[in-house]
Amino acid sequence: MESKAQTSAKPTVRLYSRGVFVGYRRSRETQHPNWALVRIEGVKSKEDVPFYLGKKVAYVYKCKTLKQGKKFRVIWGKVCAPHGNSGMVRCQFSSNLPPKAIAQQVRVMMYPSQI
Amino acid sequence: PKATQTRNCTMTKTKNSLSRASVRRQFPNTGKGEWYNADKAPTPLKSRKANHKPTRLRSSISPGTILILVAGKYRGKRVVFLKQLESGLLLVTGPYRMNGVPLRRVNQAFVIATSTQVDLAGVDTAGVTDALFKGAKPSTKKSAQKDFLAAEAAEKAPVSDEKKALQKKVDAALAKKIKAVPSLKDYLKSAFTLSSGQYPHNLKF
Repeated sequence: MESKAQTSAKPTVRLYSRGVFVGYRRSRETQHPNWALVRIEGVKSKEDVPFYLGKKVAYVYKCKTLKQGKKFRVIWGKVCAPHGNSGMVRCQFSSNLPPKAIAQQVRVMMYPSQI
Repeated sequence: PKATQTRNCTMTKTKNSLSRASVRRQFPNTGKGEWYNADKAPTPLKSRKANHKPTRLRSSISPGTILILVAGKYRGKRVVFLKQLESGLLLVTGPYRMNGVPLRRVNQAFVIATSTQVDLAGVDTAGVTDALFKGAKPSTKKSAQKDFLAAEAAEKAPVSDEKKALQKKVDAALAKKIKAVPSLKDYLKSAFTLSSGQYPHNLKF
């Protein structure tokens, strides 16, 4: 746009669903950290899940040291499968999520889009 | 041991059968062997590298559809789909004056198609091809510093006049069509965002 200085500040645009990393796939005493369980906001049954399958997931976290000039870091993953009947979802990340991420927010992006 | 034996088959020659002359290769120790076709030189398997099928365009996307860009520099912007380029990527424009999105290529996977359409009759996009979007070729010189400087220079290269001219041409025709539809201009100016209580699986685009 010609006059960038005159236009108002860019409104923040949220293009991801909020989700919570609830824990690893597990049985009572054994957990498998390579599978993350995510509760996506608004997804309450297994029938709602197919939209999200394949979508990219990002766990964003802050650090003190600058890497590539940024203090934010991301671990990327994707929604792989539904988990159970109530809309939980199984995700796999490029590297397993650290345990400190449990109960933290995770972003479920809207791409790769199929609509 | 005999290196090769030859025999002549009296079988009728079909596509896959041995030809008249076939040669026997014999393994020295076991005496076992196999007959293989002497006439045909072994043909390599057909390479699939050159056989590119055109990328299938989603049924919800057709020329004139308004798309929502879901990733990349212009994420959230609503944009008009013009045509699918040869590379399979979608050619898209803001129009530039409405939301700052220039003529751009976009991958289908990073786009949500809305049910809103614009009539594209009279909008000529024939001049826009993949070649227009090719960046400057990196220099093949070995000097690392020169490459770095060349890369910097390429990044800062201004938009070519050719692109600007095409942009103006396409946008001028398109803007007329957009203004004919009530509220469409404002729709394209606004950005898409998810707000509280809006869940993509429930939304109808």
